[in-house]
Amino acid sequence: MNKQDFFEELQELLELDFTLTETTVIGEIDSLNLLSLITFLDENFDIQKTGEELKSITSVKNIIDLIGEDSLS
Amino acid sequence: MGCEITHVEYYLPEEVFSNEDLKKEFPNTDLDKIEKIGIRSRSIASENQTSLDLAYNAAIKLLEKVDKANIDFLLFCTQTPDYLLPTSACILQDKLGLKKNIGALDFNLGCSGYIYGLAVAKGLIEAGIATKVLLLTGETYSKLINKNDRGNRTIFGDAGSATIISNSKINKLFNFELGTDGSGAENLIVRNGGVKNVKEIDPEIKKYGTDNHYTNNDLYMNGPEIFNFTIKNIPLLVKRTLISNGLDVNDLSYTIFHQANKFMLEYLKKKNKIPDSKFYIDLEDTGNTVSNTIPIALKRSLSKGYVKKGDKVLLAGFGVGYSWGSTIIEI
Repeated sequence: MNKQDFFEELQELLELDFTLTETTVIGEIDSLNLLSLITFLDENFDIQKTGEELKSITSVKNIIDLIGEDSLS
Repeated sequence: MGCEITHVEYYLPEEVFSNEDLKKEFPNTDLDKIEKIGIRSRSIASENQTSLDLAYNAAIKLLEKVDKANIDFLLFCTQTPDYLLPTSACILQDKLGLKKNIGALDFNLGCSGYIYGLAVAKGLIEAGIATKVLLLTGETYSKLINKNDRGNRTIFGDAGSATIISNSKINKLFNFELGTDGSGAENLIVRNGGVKNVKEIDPEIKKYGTDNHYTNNDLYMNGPEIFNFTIKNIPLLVKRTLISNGLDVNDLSYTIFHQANKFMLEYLKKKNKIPDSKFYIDLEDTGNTVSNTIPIALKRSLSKGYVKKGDKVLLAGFGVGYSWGSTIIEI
């Protein structure tokens, strides 16, 4: 997945009304959007992260760190 | 000799808790978001109504069609029994007026419970211990959920079900795949109220997720962890069940999974590559009724004509424990 698609899909699934970049702070993710994030990571990157790891996410950078920079073209 | 499911009934308590009721209690609730989980209302047991009562009411409906004199084993699946002892199944044997020379037992499982009940019933029949098993499920998670826990009050509903598994010339209850991983016990748990930890009089109020509050006296569910467990294990479970029965998805007429929530079911459908036409979702007016979801969905899919005689249907249950199981039935 390229970075632009990644940012766009992330924005849609987290229901954010602003454009994302690598440095965007997204704050606390609510329960239902967290489930969307789990499916997104599983489906696109075959990654399953623990609830604790996911709860610690507050920024786009945190998510990129979870999947690995190399996973994005 | 084989066995088959011959009758299924269910009972929903009269009191209904709708999304509008939820919004009144929790004004910050975004009803559009709740649409994602596919639940608009759930039936809730009244103060004096227990899981035993719900299962009893389902059994009474079923016994209008079945001669109770032929029932020679009673299984009752619940995690909310009336008492620590005696066994609820013994009380149900008496209440339902079943014969005394029958076996009766409770077993404590949640969302996988119906599959395990079918597996035990099959074992009893194939071992020659029973010929007609009454499998009851009853659950009242509403009594375990903190009133300030919006998340779990959104998801769970109460219900009871009754199923007859009978011996038959042609086997219509195929091979089972079962699984257990107790390392997930902490992720869906009521910590207090058993023998290990008695209920606290003034328990600490804890917060999790988005504005959900609970104490150790209440049900706690770590939603993301349960979701992770499900998407990791259930596709494999479905695959193994098909392999052990020498079938593939094309041989199935329908699949009925535990009706946890629509969001999870849609993702499992996608991961298992099951077409829409073979995947049953029906929880809009019930919510997640734990061990009752599969028999309710089975009964409704039959009543609505989606599932017909001769169809092969894959059933899969999964959840608290962790515990999971699957089988294929022929209608």
